[in-house]
Amino acid sequence: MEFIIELSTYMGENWGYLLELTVEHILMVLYGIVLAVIVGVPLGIICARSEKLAPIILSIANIIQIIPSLALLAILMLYFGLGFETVVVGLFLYSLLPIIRNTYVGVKEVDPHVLEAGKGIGMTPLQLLAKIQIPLSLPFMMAGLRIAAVIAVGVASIAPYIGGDGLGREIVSGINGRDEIKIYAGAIPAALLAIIADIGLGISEKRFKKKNA
Amino acid sequence: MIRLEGVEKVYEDGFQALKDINLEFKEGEINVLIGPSGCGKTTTMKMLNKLIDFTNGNIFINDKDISTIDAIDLRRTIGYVIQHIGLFPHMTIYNNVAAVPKLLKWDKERIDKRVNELLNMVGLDPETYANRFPSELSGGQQQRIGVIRALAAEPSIILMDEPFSALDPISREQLQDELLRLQKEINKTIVFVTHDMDEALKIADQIILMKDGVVEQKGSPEEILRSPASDFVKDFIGQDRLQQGNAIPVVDEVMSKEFVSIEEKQSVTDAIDLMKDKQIDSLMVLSNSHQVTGKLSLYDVINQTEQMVAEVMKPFEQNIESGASLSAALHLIKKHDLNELPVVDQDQQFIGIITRKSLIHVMSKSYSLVGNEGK
Ligand SMILES: Nc1ncnc2c1ncn2[C@@H]1O[C@H](COP(=O)(O)OP(=O)(O)O)[C@@H](O)[C@H]1O
Ligand SMILES: [Mg+2]
Repeated sequence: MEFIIELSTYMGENWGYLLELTVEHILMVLYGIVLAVIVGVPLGIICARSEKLAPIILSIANIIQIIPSLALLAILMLYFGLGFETVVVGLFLYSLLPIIRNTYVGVKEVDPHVLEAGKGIGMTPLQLLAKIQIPLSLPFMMAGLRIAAVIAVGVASIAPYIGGDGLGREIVSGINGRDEIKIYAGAIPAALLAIIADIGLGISEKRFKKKNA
Repeated sequence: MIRLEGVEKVYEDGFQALKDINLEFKEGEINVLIGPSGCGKTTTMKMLNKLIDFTNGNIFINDKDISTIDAIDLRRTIGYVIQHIGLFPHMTIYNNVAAVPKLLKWDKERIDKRVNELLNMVGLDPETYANRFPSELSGGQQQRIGVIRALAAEPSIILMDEPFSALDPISREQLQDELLRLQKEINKTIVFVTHDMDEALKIADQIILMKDGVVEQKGSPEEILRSPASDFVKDFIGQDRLQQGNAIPVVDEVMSKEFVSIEEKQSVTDAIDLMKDKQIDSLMVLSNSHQVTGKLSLYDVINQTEQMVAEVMKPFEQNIESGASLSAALHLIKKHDLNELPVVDQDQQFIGIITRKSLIHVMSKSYSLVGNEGK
């Protein structure tokens, strides 16, 4: 009980700083994921259209995903130096696999009869993609985005080790100073972010699914 | 009109799906491709809108070789309905029906009007249905949308691949009836694939029966029922339907070849004498080339004794070809309120005459329907 009061007092006194860290955290995740969508969705579509390229692209994304996050960020640091950008690149690479894989599966899963109907009424391959395949794979893409966002929120917590900021800053300084309060003050908002991302994106995913049912 | 000349299809794996297909699909007719699963019906149909390319031969649409037409352009001018309906699940009914007009970049007003018209045509109120999604409709309603989506941009040709086979029997019957009713209005060249003989007999103008990639027999439902070309065709039609087919009487069985006639160049007085002599009240009139051209009845000759037969006779304006069904004859007789209907052979040569009386007599005897239906 005492601890909770202590924690809330600390958070109350430092809310401005914690908010700043939270915003930074969100920004890193957002940049990383937006980049991953920009690159991952086209790669996913390419996978769906080419049986030859699919295993290659998916394996590369898989290998990236397998590298432990701290190791990946450390390696990136060697090339990009310390800082915000390096973290964003790391989060981008980490988010790629779920987005590529889910786009690939989503496009592949489109009912072949719906596709045949589209082709039969004279849609060009590009129109098929824009009017049918992409809209119908949106629920899958949203699921990929959700997984990516939750992972990225977690990975972003170790950003301070390579010169980034975000809620990890508070956690790391708590670890260094053996300060339980600080660790919680960083960890709780980080966990909340992950939960909100999970629930929020989960709702929009369901909404898309319902429409397509 | 669609024409296939010596069309063959060999799939990539070397399987020859079609061998020397020669067909003609006439304008405004429902052409039904039928045969057991795997005989090549779908392959034949999909070559028409270039969803499948053919290996040999030529296909012409309105005398234009389709290999010279861009596939996308071609498909936008041909309606396409598939068994699995294939509505776009993420689009409203409005957008589904409007799909082709939108591809063709019609303006909004024209699309609105067309969508409303089409929904009304299949008995779906635009107010209620336009903004619904396909999943909110029954199977039968969904396929109605599938059909009007194909009609939207007024194509002259419509391809339908087993469009009703996934529906329950009642919806299927309804949609068949609706298709027939629609076809009277829209008069399209329809190519329709089915494996259901009852469906084929009901809707077809021409039936094309296929087996293992070749055309086994083609002809009108009546021709196929009357003279199946092989045991395969007989088996496929089934014994029940064959018996039914044989039970449909044709005009030849009812027509009379014996009648009293008089020549056009004879006088009315001769005609009156002949009628008195034979105790009858009408005569068939023969031309110089001994063709029956009309009828002379007692009423026509009263007070006309100075005239020649040619001047007072009633020429026949309708005739019916040998082999036609009695119901076709009955239809003509009712429609034109005739008492007699000449039967001609393929060269339009007169071979006999059907009278209203004999027709009704035969129909009532063979069907005993007249009493049952209270007509
Ligand atoms: N892509 C393909 N590759 C090889 N064979 C095929 C292909 N598509 C269809 N076939 C074969 O061609 C034959 C005719 O197929 P199809 O036209 O679909 O038959 P139907 O519509 O009459 O049931 C079948 O034996 C089928 O297995
Ligand atoms: Mg088929």
